[in-house]
Amino acid sequence: MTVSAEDLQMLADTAREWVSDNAPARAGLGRDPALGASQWRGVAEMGWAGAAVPEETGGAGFGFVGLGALLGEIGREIADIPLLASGIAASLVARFGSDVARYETLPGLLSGETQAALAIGEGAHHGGALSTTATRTTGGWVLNGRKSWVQGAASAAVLLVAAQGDTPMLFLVDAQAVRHEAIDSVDGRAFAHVILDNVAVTDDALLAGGGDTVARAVDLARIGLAAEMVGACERAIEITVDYLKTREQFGRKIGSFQALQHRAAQMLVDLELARSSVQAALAAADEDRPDLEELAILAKYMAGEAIHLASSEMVQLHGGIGMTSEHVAGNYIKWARVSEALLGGNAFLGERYATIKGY
Amino acid sequence: MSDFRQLARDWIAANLPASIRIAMPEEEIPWGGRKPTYPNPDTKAWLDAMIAQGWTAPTWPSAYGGAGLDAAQAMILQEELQRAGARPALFSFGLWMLGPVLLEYGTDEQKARFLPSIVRAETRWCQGYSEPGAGSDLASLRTRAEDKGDHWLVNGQKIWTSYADKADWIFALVRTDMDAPKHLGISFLLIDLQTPGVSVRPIELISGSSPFCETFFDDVKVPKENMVGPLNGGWTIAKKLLQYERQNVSAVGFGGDRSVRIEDLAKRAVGEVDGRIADGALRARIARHNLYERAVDVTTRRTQIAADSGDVGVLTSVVKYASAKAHQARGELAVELLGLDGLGWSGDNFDAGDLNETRKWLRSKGNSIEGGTSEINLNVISKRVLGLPD
Ligand SMILES: Cc1cc2nc3c(=O)[nH]c(=O)nc-3n(C[C@H](O)[C@H](O)[C@H](O)COP(=O)(O)OP(=O)(O)OC[C@H]3O[C@@H](n4cnc5c(N)ncnc54)[C@H](O)[C@@H]3O)c2cc1C
Repeated sequence: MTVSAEDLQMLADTAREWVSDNAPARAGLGRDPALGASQWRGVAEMGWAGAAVPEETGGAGFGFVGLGALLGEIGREIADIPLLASGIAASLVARFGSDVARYETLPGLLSGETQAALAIGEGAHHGGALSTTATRTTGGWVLNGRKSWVQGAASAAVLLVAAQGDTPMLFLVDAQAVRHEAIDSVDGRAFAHVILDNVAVTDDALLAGGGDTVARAVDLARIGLAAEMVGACERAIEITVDYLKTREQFGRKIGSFQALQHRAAQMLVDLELARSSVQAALAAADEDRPDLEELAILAKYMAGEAIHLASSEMVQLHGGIGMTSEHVAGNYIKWARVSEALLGGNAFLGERYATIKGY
Repeated sequence: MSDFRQLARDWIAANLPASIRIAMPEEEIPWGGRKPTYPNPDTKAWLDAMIAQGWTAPTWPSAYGGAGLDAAQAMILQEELQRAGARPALFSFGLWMLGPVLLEYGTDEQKARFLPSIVRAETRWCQGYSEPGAGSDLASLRTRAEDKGDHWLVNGQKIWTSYADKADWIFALVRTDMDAPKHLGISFLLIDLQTPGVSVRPIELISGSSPFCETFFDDVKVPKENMVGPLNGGWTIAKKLLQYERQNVSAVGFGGDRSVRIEDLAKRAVGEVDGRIADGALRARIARHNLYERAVDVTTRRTQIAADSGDVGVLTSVVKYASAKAHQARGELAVELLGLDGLGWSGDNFDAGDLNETRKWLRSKGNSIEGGTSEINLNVISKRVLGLPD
């Protein structure tokens, strides 16, 4: 499947307008009001949730490249819109779901009737084995454990839960069946820990494909998050560069000082390296390439480097105003650090990359 | 698999000599020219086979000896060559820099005269841009060409001309209007280095090799038809060529030789535990380096795709800056890992491969200077991409 560059651009342009109208980045402490159910339906009606779902199964057929373009626009405004989870869940259900899941759950995900959350992470660094267990029963499974930092858990109707059975497995779980422990995170996004206490699911809840399904969900989530991070990084640089062009000191625009120009240029270099990495990973997801994990790591790692620099420089180059809650810089730096840590920080990703590459 | 990929793969398998797979010692670099040297005869065989296919310049029109491939096919070909570990068949400033601008700005006669001999490795070109007083500030160059009716009379001096002593021709920037503002009085001239009045003196590099030269022009007569583009309109061509140069800085010839894997050097240095580098901190540094290098690779590809569809954009400055950084980081890592074994200069006390790493490390220091320094590239990015004020 190939989407034309023009179609992608149109998709991104529409998304930029919608996100900046409906969920613009704002300064200040505290939580953004959650996106209302009707707003989410509006998002879904534009076909976003099914962006990566093939047309044959009711999606928009834009591929992960298309979903990535949308996520980039959401990232620009660091908006708490649960497209990452719902978009990836829809693509996984369409591909690996049981008949029941495809007939009963998928339509709701595509129409916006239901939101999904990805309960795939565990622990502060996402390392090691899955501690959530899946135990076989007759005709189903019982799940026990705790998934951490699940974005949008409270508003989601279904969760994709990674658990350890004979192999790592991925289940579709009714949100009613789990407990939440809301997290007041530094960036104000709506995260929760999710506790699974003897949650019984039927065989229909299992996404086929064995351990690969879990690995794929993690890869896709990393890539999607990296796409958001590149969007946020791009916007952070724009805001900073605008400031350099307008702020005057010593009788000149501060952006005319070469010391600052070079720092701005270095941010752009890192951004472009991250952008290429994310694009390569999105294409690999569409092509179902065997080196998807490597590219997912590359994307998340480079996005992490780029946004780390850009968000830090955003505060520094704004001077005092950058430290105040009246300015949006603080929200970018907080959002950035949470994103960098989700699904594995850069030290973890580097180690994993070395493992895959055999050193 | 696409038909073309299969075709390329089969052809490479049938034609690539075993001794021409990756790891290329400097003396075996195939530069072509009037007096070529091919110490390994396989190098010549591989070059001839590639020339016959038009694959030394795959995207150039077949009328000029190329293969007329589209951007996608050229990318596939490059991937297949890489997959097979094939050495580049030809190293050539003509291919990388002059050819693309001739295709765009040359007359039909100039294209027919110069392009085929580049493709076939018959003419070796060098680049006459820098002068003692004109480096980063290239437009202040002073070598001049006077109109003498039936020819140009060239006087002046170039410096840092890589391989001028081995080249056949030079593409040079010359001043043709002494009174115009500095960017507006420059023309782009092609000069045969055998013309009376041209002399060349090599300068040695810190890596011990001497690719650099000073090139002197003393009443050199150059035919009128050797000017590319309009009189005093050379600056546009000069800048375009620089973009191609920057794009090519990531090529093997500019210090990007990765035939030795840095992780293998690390295993040698600190040992292995269960097949992994024994020192976790070192492994982390190497993984980070490799990820950065890979990000540069995917960005280089992205730039090439953009360039193949006619958009030699500002990403070239990004790639130039980032690949210089990556090459240099690799060189520093290699020398650090080898310890004193990596700090030899010559002799049997040292492994030939290690000596090569030492030279590569030193050579990589030039990556942030040649083709526009890193500082100048950051200037370009901040002014032209980000629009920061003067
Ligand atoms: C390996 C190698 C191969 C080369 N091959 C060729 C060749 O074949 N043909 C050819 O013509 N030339 C060649 N060059 C020359 C090269 O293009 C010049 O060296 C380069 O453009 C820099 O010019 P310069 O050496 O005069 O340094 P200068 O311009 O004097 O610069 C000195 C330092 O000042 C910095 N600087 C200068 N101006 C600014 C500014 N405005 N803002 C910030 N910093 C600034 C530079 O970045 C540099 O760090 C080669 C150079 C190298 C290293």
